[in-house]
Amino acid sequence: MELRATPAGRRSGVSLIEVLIAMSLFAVIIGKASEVFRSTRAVASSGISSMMVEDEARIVLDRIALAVMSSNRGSLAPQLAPGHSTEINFQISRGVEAGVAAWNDPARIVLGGAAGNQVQWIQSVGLPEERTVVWTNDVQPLFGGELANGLDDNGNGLVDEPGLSFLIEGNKVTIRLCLGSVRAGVMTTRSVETTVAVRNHPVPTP
Amino acid sequence: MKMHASRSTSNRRGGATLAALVAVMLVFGLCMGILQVTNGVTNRLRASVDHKRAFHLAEAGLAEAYAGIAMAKTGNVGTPEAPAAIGGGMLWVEAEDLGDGLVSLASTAVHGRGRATLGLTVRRPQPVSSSLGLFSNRDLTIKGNTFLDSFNSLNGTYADHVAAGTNNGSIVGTNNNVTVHNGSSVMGDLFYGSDSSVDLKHGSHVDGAVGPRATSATLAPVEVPDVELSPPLEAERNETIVIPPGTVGYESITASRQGEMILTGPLTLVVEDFTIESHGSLTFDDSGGPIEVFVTGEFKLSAGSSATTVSGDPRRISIQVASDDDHAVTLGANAEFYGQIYAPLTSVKILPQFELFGSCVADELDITAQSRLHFDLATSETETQSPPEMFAWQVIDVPDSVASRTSNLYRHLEIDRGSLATPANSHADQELSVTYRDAGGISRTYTGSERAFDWTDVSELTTGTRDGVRFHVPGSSGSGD
Repeated sequence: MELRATPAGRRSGVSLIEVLIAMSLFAVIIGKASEVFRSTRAVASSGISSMMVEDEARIVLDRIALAVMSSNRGSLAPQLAPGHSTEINFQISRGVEAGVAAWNDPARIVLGGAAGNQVQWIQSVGLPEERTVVWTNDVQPLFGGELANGLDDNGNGLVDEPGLSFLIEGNKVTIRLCLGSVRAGVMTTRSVETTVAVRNHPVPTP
Repeated sequence: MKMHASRSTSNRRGGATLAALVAVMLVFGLCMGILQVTNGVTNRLRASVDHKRAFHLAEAGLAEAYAGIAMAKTGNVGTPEAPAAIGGGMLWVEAEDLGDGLVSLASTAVHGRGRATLGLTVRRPQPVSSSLGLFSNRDLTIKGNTFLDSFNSLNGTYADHVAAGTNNGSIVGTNNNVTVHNGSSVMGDLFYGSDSSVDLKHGSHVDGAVGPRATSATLAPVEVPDVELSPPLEAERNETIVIPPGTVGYESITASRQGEMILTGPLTLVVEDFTIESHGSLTFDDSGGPIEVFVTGEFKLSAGSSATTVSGDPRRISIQVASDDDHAVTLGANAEFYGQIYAPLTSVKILPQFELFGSCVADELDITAQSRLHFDLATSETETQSPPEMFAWQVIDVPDSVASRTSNLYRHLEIDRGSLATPANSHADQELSVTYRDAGGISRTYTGSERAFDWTDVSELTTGTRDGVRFHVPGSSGSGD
């Protein structure tokens, strides 16, 4: 058997039309793939951004909750129920010293900062060694679902509550926090809330 | 065969494969990037969830230890080497005695990569005074031929218990040293101070457990009702004075020789000095209600006098002496006295002709030779014991040995997860002494390590102590686990 190569002028190969068709198909596929990739990336970015904000909100909320849980019920202030407050004053337990319960210096968690977007933890309030630690800079002006219209838009019983609020009722403190951040030009906000019981020296419940 | 391959054809081969490979690599790289970012976020969320779970497990550990302390356990639950398993994680609680009844608990929990340690300081429940049985805060000397045993007035008379052989649940204790002399018998448990000793002389007998107390018992002061005191009251020779029901107070009460004093319940009586002289008599008529006598000075039933209780129910008569004078209480009357005596700041001297059915707790218990004292278990069962008092709850630093281990802690500690016990079964072992009925209704006793005791054998618990401290089960008529 003999295999013979075709002459150069009649070689089998791709014609211009075939090349064009192939390139067109390739361009369409690449275009679609890139579109899918872009949209996937946008969704992923949005999801990640959302998770990051929620993650941060949960971390800050947990810090506040732990501080409130460790505090002395008698030290909690202000008690404005059914109203809310943007700050809470408390004293954290230091354990027992010489047979009596010992407490840290007065502390405060407050919605502060020049733009009113910070959660500030102030230690040793009113004392020379007072110092302020900022836990986040992303607090939103209002809690999720709330509009500044004098109404309870989100139906949680509070009117125009800001991005950080405290509600003290008996031995329970409800903490509401709304954080937001801009990523890739998109604003993402997350509202979280929790109710914790004060562990130290609770008042008798009826 | 001949093969002719053109050079141009060989040059073109592999181009499409290469392009496809580049495209695949590109897509693969992008996917890996997204996967990595997503994994990072997922790991953070998982760590957050693990941390929360660890926090809740640590709280569960505190709750377990608190419940244990309420039942006279030590508060230790598991150890770092052998933690308790619960909810897919593990925990252990370390208890430290701070003195004055205070116990500091540190509960550490691990769940996945989450770690949490919480602290709680509690005060052990003040034991119901009568639950101490026959108790002396100072050294206790049980002189020769003394007989100390028990009965439960809710389950029958003393004679019934003796006949059934169930008079062996007595609790005799002290915060200091104890000596039991020749010929004396303690039908029940004998506990001495945690840093003290016991001396059982030849010929003495203790039927139950003998061991140190886990913690010293604190005797609460007597709270004397605020009652205005009337002038002294004296029953002279051949005279009978009846104090009617109500709340009354006297500067002193005396029954002289051949004089008779009758106290009628329900009565709350406050008196500075209460004396029944030799050949005088005293009657506690508690048939109409309980009688409480509060004494701020001396309470003396002289040798040769007599005392009577009507109902025979020790829960209906109590004598509480607030005095801190030396030897303020002398019980020398000829009597079968059914009642409770509490004198946290002074000594109580009991002579052999005064046979006590009930309880006696004092700063110093002076039991003379040949005395017979019978602890009534019912006197403590009917009183409510307060739960441990919580002082301080706090978040504390996770121990370095645990915090620094972010890898598999089970592997690091060489712990077999399947071998871990539940928190309820991980309490520190203690000296257990129980009287109970088994499934067949047979009364049994056990004294020894709690770990070696099978609680499933118990159908009804009569009495129980852990390291000398009686424990109660909320909602049960008895005590136990």
